Amino acid sequence: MRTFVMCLLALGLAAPGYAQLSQAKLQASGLTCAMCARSVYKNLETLPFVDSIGTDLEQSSFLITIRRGADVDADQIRKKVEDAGFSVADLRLEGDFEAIPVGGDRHVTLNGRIYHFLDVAEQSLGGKGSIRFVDRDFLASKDQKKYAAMASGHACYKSGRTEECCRQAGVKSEGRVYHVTL
Amino acid sequence: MKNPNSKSVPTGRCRTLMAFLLPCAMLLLQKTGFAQELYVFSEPASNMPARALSLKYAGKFLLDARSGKPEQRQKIYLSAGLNKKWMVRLGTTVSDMYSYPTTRWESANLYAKYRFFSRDEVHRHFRAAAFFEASHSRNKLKYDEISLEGDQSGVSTGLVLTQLLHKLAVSGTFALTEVINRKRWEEGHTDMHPFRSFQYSLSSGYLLFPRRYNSYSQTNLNIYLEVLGARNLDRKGGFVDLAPALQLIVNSNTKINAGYRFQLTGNMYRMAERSLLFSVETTFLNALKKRSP
Repeated sequence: MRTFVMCLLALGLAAPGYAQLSQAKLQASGLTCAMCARSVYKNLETLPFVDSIGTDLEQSSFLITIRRGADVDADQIRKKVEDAGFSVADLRLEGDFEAIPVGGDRHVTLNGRIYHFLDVAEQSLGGKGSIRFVDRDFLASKDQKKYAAMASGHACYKSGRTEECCRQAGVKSEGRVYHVTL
Repeated sequence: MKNPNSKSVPTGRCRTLMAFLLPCAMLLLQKTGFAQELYVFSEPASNMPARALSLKYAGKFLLDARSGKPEQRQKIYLSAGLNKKWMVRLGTTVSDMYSYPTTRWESANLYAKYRFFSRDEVHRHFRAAAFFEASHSRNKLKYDEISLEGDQSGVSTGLVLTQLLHKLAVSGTFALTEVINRKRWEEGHTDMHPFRSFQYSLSSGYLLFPRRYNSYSQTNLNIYLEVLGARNLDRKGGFVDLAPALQLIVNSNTKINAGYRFQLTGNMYRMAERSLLFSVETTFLNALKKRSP
């Protein structure tokens, strides 16, 4: 299997990979009060892949422990924060990653979802690691311009879906593309 | 030549501005704490969470300016967050303000708010919302003050702009309110009452306790200062009120508010120039949808 994956990588195709995700670190923006943080907390609690949530009220940040083997959907986390009336300023997924080459605008299929790595040097993401979401709706306003400029040549950054740029990078499937960095 | 005995008395407008800016400046000088925007006398541009319900009781108490009799209005509101941008609120009131000493059902009210702009940063945001309000009241036209909280039937629409700056939250509301009453179109009455008013508010809030958050169960104590003003557009008359208030938030879901509203300046025939407001509001998160499978 590993040989097969390496062959795909060598061909420059989107690499299928696996990670055992253990926690999500979320910082919400636009709120300061405990009543507001509680509405985010109660919304996050309803997500099927959430096991438990720790809160730092001073920083408006949440440490979400993921159910073992569960499928984590970053868009669902974002939607729960937005439904509470606020925004995502920073979201990172942490876990054990199978050795996956990343960087150089590489697209990686991880746990069945397509991730486009931005602003990352060629390297292997293996063992304990973390990926940070840099799509517009996962960033505070002040960071949005930076990543929009960085991804200006990628139509997929604007739409959040697979576009011609993704197909040229070897992505065969269609659907949601998350833009991430390390 | 200037009279040496004359004193420099600030105008009503100046006093209003000073009364608002002084506490704001004091808040800016504070080094700790967070601003709050869960105002007692006005609405912020932020909405309640999607799929949440809230139930609110509010009581308004005053002494009638003419008779000196104590009068009261009891209000019940049910609010719902339809989604992240829309909220609606239904309300009804009973009072003895127009039927003293009998307390009777008085009015029903619908309020909807749409948050159309939001720019969020950690511990700060700027938000803008538009709102629409309609009220049906059985009361007769009596006073120059136009209000849809139970006094008159009418419609109102306006904008709310709220800026949260870590330690200070300032919110402004600007609204146009129209009284809808058949007398408005009856000969002989059109000049007797005001039917159109520009209403505005400037609000600020500050968290006094806790100094540091460490759990949802900590009781919060917030202090608010709001300037509430109105100017009738079809007849002369206006007022500017100042409204300090205290707020306790218990278990991060129940607000207990107490406020005092008094006139700083005005030339309007009003029911009273001072009133007390007491209210309790409980929010039920995720009340409109079952837990995700």
